[in-house]
Amino acid sequence: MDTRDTPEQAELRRAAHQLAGQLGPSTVADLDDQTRAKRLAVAVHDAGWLELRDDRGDGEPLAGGVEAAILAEGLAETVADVAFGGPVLAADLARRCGAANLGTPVVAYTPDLLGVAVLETPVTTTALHAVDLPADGGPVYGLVRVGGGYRLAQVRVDGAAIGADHGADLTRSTCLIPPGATVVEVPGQRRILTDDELASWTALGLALTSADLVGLMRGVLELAVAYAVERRQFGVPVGSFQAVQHLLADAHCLMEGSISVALHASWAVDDLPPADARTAGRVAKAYCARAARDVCETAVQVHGGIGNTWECLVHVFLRRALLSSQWFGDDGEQLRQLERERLGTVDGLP
Amino acid sequence: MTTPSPAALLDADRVTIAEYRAALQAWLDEHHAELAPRYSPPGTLDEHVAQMQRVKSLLFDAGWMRYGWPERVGGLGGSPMLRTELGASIAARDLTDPGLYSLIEVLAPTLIEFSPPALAAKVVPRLLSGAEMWCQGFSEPGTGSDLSSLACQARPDGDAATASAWIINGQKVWTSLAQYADRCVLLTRTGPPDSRHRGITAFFVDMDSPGISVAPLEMINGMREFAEVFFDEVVVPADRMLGELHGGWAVAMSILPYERSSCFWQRIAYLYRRLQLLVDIAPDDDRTAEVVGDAFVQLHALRARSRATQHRLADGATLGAETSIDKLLVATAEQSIYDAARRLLPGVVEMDDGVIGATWRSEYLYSRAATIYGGTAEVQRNIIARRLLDLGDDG
Ligand SMILES: Cc1cc2nc3c(=O)[nH]c(=O)nc-3n(C[C@H](O)[C@H](O)[C@H](O)COP(=O)(O)OP(=O)(O)OC[C@H]3O[C@@H](n4cnc5c(N)ncnc54)[C@H](O)[C@@H]3O)c2cc1C
Repeated sequence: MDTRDTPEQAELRRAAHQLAGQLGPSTVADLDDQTRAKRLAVAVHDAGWLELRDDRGDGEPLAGGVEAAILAEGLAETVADVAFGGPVLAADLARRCGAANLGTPVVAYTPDLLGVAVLETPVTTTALHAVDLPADGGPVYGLVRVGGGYRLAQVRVDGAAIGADHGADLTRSTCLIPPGATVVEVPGQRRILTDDELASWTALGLALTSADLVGLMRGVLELAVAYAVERRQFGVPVGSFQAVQHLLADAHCLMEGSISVALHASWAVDDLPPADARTAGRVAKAYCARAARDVCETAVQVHGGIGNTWECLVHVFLRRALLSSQWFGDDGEQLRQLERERLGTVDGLP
Repeated sequence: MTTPSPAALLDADRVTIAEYRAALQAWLDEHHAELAPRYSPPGTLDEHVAQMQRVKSLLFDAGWMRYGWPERVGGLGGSPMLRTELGASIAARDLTDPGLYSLIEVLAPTLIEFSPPALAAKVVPRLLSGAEMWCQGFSEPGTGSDLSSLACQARPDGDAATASAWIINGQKVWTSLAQYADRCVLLTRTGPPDSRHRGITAFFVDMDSPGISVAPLEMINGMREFAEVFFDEVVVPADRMLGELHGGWAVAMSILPYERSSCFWQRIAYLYRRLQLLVDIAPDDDRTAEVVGDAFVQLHALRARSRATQHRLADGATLGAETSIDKLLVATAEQSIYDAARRLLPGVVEMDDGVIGATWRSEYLYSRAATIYGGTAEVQRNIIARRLLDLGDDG
């Protein structure tokens, strides 16, 4: 793989950075500014970013995993409170099933968020979570099992039954879908989703959530470094204390390691066989999830008492990192899956 | 009450910790219904505060709250380890939040040591019985780790030696529970601005004094536990000075021994309880065993360390730099327990808005502050390196 941005990728990176910088929240209070949030959502929509993984006509996506990851990272860097990963993953799943994509969809996940919910018709029997819902919520997709794989199903969510769920993350909306929601197969699917295709979709999920964590690390570390320069104790900037320098230097290393491993995972989505792409995603996610929590906690620590207040933007990063870590599984989960998938450990044996 | 309180049967000076514990546990069992929180969990801060005051009042009336405190402040005497045992017992039963309760141990010993005896005799029983709450006004916007740089000013009304009152101007920040507090142990600048720890004086200030305003601050978990406190020409009688004029540093430092022994013991009891709650709901598998085991080992090492610290204090030792070890151990153990919860309850801390999720999430986020409040982890490491390992001076 060539790790350099193509000119188009560099342009996309610049565009995401600029848009998120202009319309993303720059203070915690900004999160309440509905007008701004709406403008951000419209801008992301108008840029066509939610359609990146739609079918370009021959079954292949309009853009690659790398492009999608560049946007995920750019939006997370300013904790942009706009749906992106959720709708993109749903569109990608629909594409793989050969289903026409209607509206801006999202995916229903198992309550631990480890993967797409595999459902029984006619109604759901367990609670599910939809993650990263767009404001103009479109269909909610799950899968049903059929011979040879899966088909796409729509979970008909009765608006009134949806829990007003906020979770830890203040920048992306999630919702709890209680049991009893109607499940219908999406009509007109041209393909059965194979296990390989599902692995490839999972690889995209792992790559996008890893990229989101990379963006969070970039953004929060920038805040922490700036604060270490500005905050003075004992007559000097706290950033002049070696203890603080080492914390920030460690965080910087974790971020750089994450950038590399996440880039590899996003490249792998379209360029490696599905099982290998998923492995690359798991490795990236295992690394980034742990790194992002460490980096966010370092940022809290460097901010001292201020870092423990609601009005300090740092916790918005930490909270978002909690969701992005758990979405498709945190580091512990990835290590367990790697052990199972790579070393062939059979579940249930001691 | 018709039956004599069992507490009254114990001789404070002779009772062993084990005997005290047995009698206390029996009483707590018997009065479980009365003591239990009236709110449904997780509860608001208002509810937590009301619960603590109610529990203190019940314990005071039954005598338990008076063991380990000197008779001259309404206590029954005996070893301070008795009151530590009480704090731990009620924390282990989730009857009060240890963070709220800890302010008793942080502030009452200081008042007993430094205030005019008549003042302590009047106010300490009010603190113990739940009639009052106090807060600790040390930190300022420009003053955190470097406490000796504080700027909140007190000037004498007249000549410093004979002034009948002092006038306070300035600001404190992150003052826990200031919005509920009746009094504040306040550090002020009485020397020249650059007089550092030599020009600080402590006062015991009534929070309803004209000129004080309190603005609660929202914490990382959305609770409004701490506040900004503003002082505008606040008049404080001279007999409210704690310790000597310009002797405030000694007052501030006196807080350490109890904060780092009794308070930690309560928090440890609370953390054991949290670990148990986690074990109750986590899946029964190898991963739980490993993660819980790791947290348990940290907690156990901390408990053993803290027990030794308390015995040293009870034997008359002066606690100092070595309590920075206790502080680091308690902060890391606390964070590892909430890390364990996050790992073992996938999706709960992140997504669940029910009681379980909201409680674990709130406590998880709050636990990130354990390496900040009471002296940051970096500052503790500096102290350990310089004073215990002799690696350079305090510079
Ligand atoms: C939940 C909570 C409750 C609190 N309650 C109270 C209260 O009731 N009353 C009260 O007075 N205060 C209270 N505080 C304030 C607390 O005591 C301070 O936050 C703490 O002392 C740190 O000061 P600071 O926040 O100004 O951080 P700073 O001192 O600005 O530190 C910023 C960063 O620099 C580092 N640093 C600073 N100096 C050094 C050094 N010399 N060497 C290496 N690193 C250094 C710190 O470790 C930290 O990472 C509370 C704080 C919290 C979070």
